[in-house]
Amino acid sequence: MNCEVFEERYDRAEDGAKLSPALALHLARCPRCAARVDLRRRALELYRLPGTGPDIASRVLAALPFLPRPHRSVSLRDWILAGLALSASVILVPAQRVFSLVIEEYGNRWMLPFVLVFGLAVSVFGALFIGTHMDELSGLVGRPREKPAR
Amino acid sequence: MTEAPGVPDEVLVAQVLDGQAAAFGELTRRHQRRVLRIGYGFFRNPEDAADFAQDVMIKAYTALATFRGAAKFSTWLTRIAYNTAINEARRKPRYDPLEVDPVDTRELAPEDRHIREETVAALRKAMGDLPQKYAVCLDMYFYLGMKYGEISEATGFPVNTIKSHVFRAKRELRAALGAAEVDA
Repeated sequence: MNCEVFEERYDRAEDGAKLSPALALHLARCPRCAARVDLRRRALELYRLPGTGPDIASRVLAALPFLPRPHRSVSLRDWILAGLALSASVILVPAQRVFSLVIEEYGNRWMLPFVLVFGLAVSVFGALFIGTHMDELSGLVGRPREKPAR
Repeated sequence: MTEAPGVPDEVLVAQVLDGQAAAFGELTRRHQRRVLRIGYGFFRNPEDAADFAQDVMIKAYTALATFRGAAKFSTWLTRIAYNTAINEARRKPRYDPLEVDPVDTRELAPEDRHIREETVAALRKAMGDLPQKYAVCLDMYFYLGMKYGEISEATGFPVNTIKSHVFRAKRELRAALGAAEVDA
């Protein structure tokens, strides 16, 4: 490989990426190309010298208390899927064979705890859904949202 | 807990989401240079760039819960900065951070200063030949040290488009540094 081909291929490679064996071999054997590569590395180091810009962090930190706190939230789609899974399980459980076996064994006495557990699950789901979507729900009922202060 | 330079960005993000807003100060300190640089390039005015950087960091804070860690925090932040800048700087067709980014080169050796000047001139020319939305890709590569894939994630341009612009800029740089070698 001559120097011209090397330079062309070297320029096409991403800086910092591993060189192909042919490029690495030429670089190891050719002092001229090695010097040029070294010069480019040095030039880019000099180019990246940090500027003396303003301190943004203090301005941003001063604004944070006036902004809504970010928090992880489950997407609306995931909430709907979870709700559908909950509903489907309630509908499908009575259709299962195990359901009739339980009825045969224990009669209808266990229906009350079943309904209580189901009611509790629906209540928890509803409370979590409302609690984690207060912003969206308040927007839906028309309450104007506070504009973040700067 | 927020002044530790060795703490990864993702841990700081988790701290902010747990209510430690001060951790966001450390994230801002780490990445403000990157955001400011993009602001300098699009707005070419130090005050506008500082306002832009503040807006971007506040946008990042309010959207922090959407950061899932699929990309690096710096790439995610660069994407916010890029989209914000593109929307706000439509009337300024040229991208030129070098016009306003203040770098103190007085302490450099004369040879290093010369090399830097040649590099700045070559890359400035390469950026000047491109519309701003592509010119910023050169800055992301040469100044911010981002990989092709990261630039693509931040801007939405195909990797091959970015590669081809960077390749042309490298040719400019090679010619300029060749001339600098001859001069030296």
